[in-house]
Parts: sequence; C-alpha cells; structure tokens
Amino acid sequence: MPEEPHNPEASILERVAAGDPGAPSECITRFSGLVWSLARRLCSSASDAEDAVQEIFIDLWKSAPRFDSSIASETTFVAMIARRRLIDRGRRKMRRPEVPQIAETVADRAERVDRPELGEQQKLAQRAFAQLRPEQQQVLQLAIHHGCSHEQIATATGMPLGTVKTHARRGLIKIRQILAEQGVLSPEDLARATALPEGSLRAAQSEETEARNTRGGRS
Amino acid sequence: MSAFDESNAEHEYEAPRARLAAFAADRALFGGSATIEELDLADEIDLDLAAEEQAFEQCVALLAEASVGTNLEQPPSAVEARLHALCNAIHPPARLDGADPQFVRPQSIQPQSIRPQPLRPQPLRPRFDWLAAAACTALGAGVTFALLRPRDGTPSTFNVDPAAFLRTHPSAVHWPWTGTQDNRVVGTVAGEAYFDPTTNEGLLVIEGLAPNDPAREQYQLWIFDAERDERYPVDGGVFNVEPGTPTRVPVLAKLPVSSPKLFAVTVENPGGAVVSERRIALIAKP
Repeated sequence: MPEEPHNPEASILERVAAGDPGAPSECITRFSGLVWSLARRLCSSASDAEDAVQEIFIDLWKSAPRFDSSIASETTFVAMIARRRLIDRGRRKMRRPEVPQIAETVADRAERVDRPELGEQQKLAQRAFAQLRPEQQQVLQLAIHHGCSHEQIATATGMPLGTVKTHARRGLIKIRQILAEQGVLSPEDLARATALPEGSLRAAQSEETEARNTRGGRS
Repeated sequence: MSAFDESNAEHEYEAPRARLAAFAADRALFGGSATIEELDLADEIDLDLAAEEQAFEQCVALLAEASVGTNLEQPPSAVEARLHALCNAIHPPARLDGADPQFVRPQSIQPQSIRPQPLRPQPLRPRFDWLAAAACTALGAGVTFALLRPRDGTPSTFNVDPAAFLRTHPSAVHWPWTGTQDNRVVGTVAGEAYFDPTTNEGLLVIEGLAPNDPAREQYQLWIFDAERDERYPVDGGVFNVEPGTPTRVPVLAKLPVSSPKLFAVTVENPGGAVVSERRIALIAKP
C-alpha cells in the first residue's frame, strides 16, 4: 500500500497518528518537560518518575489517533494521558508521595496566578479555581498538584473523609460549570454542565449545615 | 463525629444525574472505575458517562497544567535519551482512512483499574491441538500479520464483566484460553476470550500470564477469521498484565471479523507489532 505523504500542517499528535516517523521524537522534545514535571509531582521518587514518563509516552503515541483538537489542546490532551497513567501507577503501587504542608501548597498557588507564560485556558482554569471556597481549593490542590488520596487529604487537613469527598466533588463540578460557560470545554459540555444544578441544589442546601457541623466538630 | 460523614456524602446527591457526575468527578481526581450499577444507571437516564468523565478530566488537566506551567522541569538528559531510543522500538498506530477521531477512552474501561486478585499456583501446561498448531505454523513461517493494523480503540462504554458482556452481546462466542510453553505463562491459565462478530467487540479475561513491563514488552491479541487468509489475522490491540491483577481487556476490532475461529496472544515489543515476533503465549479456540 503506498504511503500517503505526511501533512506538514498537522499537529504533532496528528502526525504521530498518521505514522510520521519523526513525530514521536518531536513529541518528546515538545512535551517531555510537562510530562516530567507532572511525574515528579505525583511519583514518590525520581526513578519512579523515570519509569513513568516512558509509560506515558508509549501511552501517548498509542492514544494519538484519539486526539481531537476541537475538544482540547494538545497540551491538555498530553496532561490528561499523563495524569491517568500516573494515577494508575499510584493506585497499583498503593504508594503516594508524602503529604505536603498545606501552607506551602497555598503559597505555591498564589504565587503563580496570572503569570504571562500560561496559556489562556490555563489562566481561565486558575481563575475558576480562585472562585472556589478555600476548603475546596485546599482539597483540590492536594489531589491534583500532589496526587494525594482522599484519606491522605483527610489526614493532612483534619477534615472528615466525607467532607473531603464533598469538597472535591463540588469544587470540580463548579470549575467544570465555569469553564463550560467560558467556552473552554466543548460546546456540547455546556448543556451537560448546566444540567447539573438539580443535583447540586440539594448539595447547596446542606452546605450550611455541613459547614456548621464541621466547625462544631473541630471546636 | 461530624454529622457530615462519608455515608452522608454518598447519599447527598439524590438525583441520578448529579450522583453520576459526582462519581465521575471522583474518578477524574483519584482514578478508579465506574461500577456496573453506574453504567446501568447512566444507560437508564441516557447519560454519556464517558463524556462526563472526559469533561472532568479536562478540567483537572488544565489545573495541573496551570500548576506546572510556569515552573517546568526538564527531564535529566539520560531520561530524554531513553525516551528518544523508545521511538525506534515502537510502531506508531496507523489511522484508518475515514475513521472518526475518538477522543479519549474513559478511565472506567481501563483494564488497569480492575481490582487485584492473587494468582493461582503453578500448574501443568495443557497441550494444544491441530488448530493451534496450524496457527503456530502460520506464525512460525514468518508471515506478515495484520498489515492493515487498525487504530487503537475500544467501545465508548464498555462493561468488563463477562456475564454482562454476554447479556449485551448474545451473538458472542467465548472460548477458554490454553497456555503454550512460553515462559510468560506462569500460573494456571484461566479465563476466556469473548467476541461478538456482529459488533466486532470483544472482551479478554485472562489469568496465568506473567506481568509485563510496558516499556520492554507488551501482549498483543490476534484474531483469526475463517473468512480471511490465515496469514493475515486481525490485530486486536496490545494490552498489559499487572501483578496480582486478573486481566480484563476490552477489544474493538476495527477490521470486520465475521467468523472468528481462533484468538492468539503474542509477546511483542512496546506498542505491538505489525509483523509478529511469532511468540505465542495463549490461544483460545472452540
């Protein structure tokens, strides 16, 4: 079967999917920093991160045909694949990085808001994050940026496990709704995301009770 | 104890739509698989669970990018060199003309997320008969396998429970696995290959294969079709076996297999092969 010429206008992942022999190498050059940075945050050691990045790139090349630029950017697609693989590894090994100091993570976040190097979508995500309640921010920060499990977050913050779950869910649902409204997610997702308030209504009603109980439980 | 305990959190979302969204958010943050009940519930209320999970994963990925975006570390040069060396070892998957791009396989159907189960003790390896021998002969002759290699893909919603698969695929064949003398066969071989020629979907349930290091080798499924030349079995995709975990692999053969007659699992380089190394570990046949 004659091989079709590769489209020079195509993105790296599209060229990987099309079998362009130079594309996997370009993919490494372009995304190794992102993948390595995510792996270093979510792996317990440098050697574990080294193994992880190899798995991630193999997974990425295999997944390249499923990349759709109308849904997400290449960078976001790479981050999704990388996180998925890193979470799988963490669950398999039942090993997570040490729980970081909360003050440190919040300081990290504050320092990075609105840096000009960030892409527009990432900035919008950060702004959406900034709209969350502090407890929701704290839980998501530990889950996303440090790969902590529910239990580790509960230990680190002193929150009951159920409260951790609730903050994580509500926080992420709210971010999704904000990003959908701002057109960051696919247009189809706007309808799906705005269909959520029915379930969230009850959540909102119990929010005050929860806050009262949590405060009462700690005092 | 706080009144807002875990059980309250689970029951907080009474509306099915909101409950499924909450669980999808959990998986985007912490991994894991959708349960059969969730998949059934999503079917009942006509919710695209894969799209739901994808939206949450996209949000989490954007936040993760933002967190490292201003502070990217470059990998050590030795790591980068190993990554570039990997490029020579893999065959990037080819995209079929006209195939609709599918975005991401949802976490819920990743075989890696099956709960652990101990391997069984070392068994006697069964013999395989003429049909397997014929398949091995074909493999041993160094023939080219599945030149029309399909893109990797699985059904958008997929149940890895065999009973549920058979319920939803009444036309499926299902045959038990038999191990070969290959040293990757390390335990009692158990499980079956399930395949529905009317939908081209299948499910592999496998026990008795050694865990693999995906950076060094992967297992690959080949489907022999009575309607095709035996030298050109259809590539069923690559998969991994994890320690202490029964392997369940969803299969979606993009090339039509109208009359399956044998399934073979081979050991290949990472990413799988276009020309098989002819190292068969398992076969399944009527």
